[in-house]
Amino acid sequence: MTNYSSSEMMVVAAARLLRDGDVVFVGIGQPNLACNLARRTHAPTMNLIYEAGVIGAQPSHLPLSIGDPCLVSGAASICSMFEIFAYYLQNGKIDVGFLGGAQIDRFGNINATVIGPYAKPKVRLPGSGGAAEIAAWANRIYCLTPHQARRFPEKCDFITSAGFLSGRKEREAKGLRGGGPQAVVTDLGMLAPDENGELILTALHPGATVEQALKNTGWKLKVADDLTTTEPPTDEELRLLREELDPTGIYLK
Amino acid sequence: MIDKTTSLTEAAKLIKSGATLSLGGMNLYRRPVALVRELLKTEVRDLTLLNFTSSYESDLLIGAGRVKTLRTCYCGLESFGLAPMFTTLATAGKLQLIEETEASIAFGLRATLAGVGFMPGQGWIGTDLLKVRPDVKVIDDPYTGQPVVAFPAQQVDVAIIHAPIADRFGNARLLGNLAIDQELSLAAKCVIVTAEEIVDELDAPLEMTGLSVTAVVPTPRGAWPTSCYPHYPLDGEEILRYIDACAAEKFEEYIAASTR
Repeated sequence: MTNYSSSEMMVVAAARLLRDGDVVFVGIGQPNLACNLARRTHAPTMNLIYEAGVIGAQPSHLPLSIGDPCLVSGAASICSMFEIFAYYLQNGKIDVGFLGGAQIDRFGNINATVIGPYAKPKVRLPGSGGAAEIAAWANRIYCLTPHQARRFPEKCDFITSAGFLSGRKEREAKGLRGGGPQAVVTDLGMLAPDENGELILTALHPGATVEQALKNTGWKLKVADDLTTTEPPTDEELRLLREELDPTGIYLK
Repeated sequence: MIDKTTSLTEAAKLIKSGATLSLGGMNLYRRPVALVRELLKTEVRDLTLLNFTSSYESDLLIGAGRVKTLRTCYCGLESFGLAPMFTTLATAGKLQLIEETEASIAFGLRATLAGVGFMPGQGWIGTDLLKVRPDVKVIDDPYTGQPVVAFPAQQVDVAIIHAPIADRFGNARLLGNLAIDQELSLAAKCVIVTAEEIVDELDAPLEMTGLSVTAVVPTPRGAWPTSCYPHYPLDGEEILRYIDACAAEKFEEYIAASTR
């Protein structure tokens, strides 16, 4: 079998979560790679909406910026950010949103605002962007993040984007229409919400152990009864990533 | 129609200390960098920056101490990482921040355009954003009874929008990503268009009409190092050079060299 890196495994695992026909709100970086890998493998009719207002983008290479001209050429439509949020996202037309964040907590809430107290931060982060709304309205939310205890606290220092809040019941009671977090892909495996909305370990990538996952999670991580092992990347998936999608290794080291 | 063409120096005079300024484009595309550099040559300060997203262009103003308050939903350099001066000053509590999200700004501008005090949406419910923005009210939808967030109307004194092509009267084509520039061009009290190319007269289709444009400035490479489709791509090397300069505590030197 071909050797592969942990970031390649993450991107491949994320790509496999996407379904043909999905309308996906794409950011920059690894989620973008995952979406374009899925589009070239099992999900050719996926519709990519870039957060600058580009609908149906067909990027020939990987953009470094959401304003990259490669996203505009060949796109189906270009609209204003108000239209993206009001007509597409708020109106329930977006299936998948990929979100990142400095912290993801036990119930899938995400912090992209500040580490430490808001009034006296340890580190100020870039901020929500559109994440707060995407988390509320997209039908399925996926996250890609390295598995480190500081990134997975019991509770976020600041909730920028709602996951399940204190559990599925609270999200439901608040009337947030989207389905909330469906999976968090890490370099060790995958977390997914249980019936209460608590993130539990549902899969391990080849070579990773339950002990590693427990040690690198800030809460007492539960392990699914039917814990699975991720299928390693196929030769074709690796070829697409290395030769076509990220040939200079910007996102995949 | 009136010929509105002017110089960068004259256009910069339209921005007064204490004003609420919006910089068009988004992230690292079509940011009005040339006019920001011109502004750095003036004494303008105490600005409130109200940006859809903030990036390199805003970090220059923030680092130079010209910004009192930043209202934005994101300040960073995308794939290149954190915006260095914003991160340092905001972490040290030396910059007043008002949390926004993409929807709160987009909806707030729509409220201004509709002549009403707010535009409802659902985005912030359940988050801590409402805790740090006590001025943002949650109200009951009068028809369904469901709670909705009443995003307040956003007021902008001056908007600077960089376009690939414009005419003497301020009509412009954006030829790609729009960000919130169409809304900004109608909501701001004063609109400055900088453009790669100025022609005598543009016909439909236009993404921006000159109706509410105050000044038009011929500004080739006016968005550099951010991108301006179809003229030039993002200059990532320059962004990296900026990050390195800040890391070496050479922000002042960087600014001095780039505003010469």
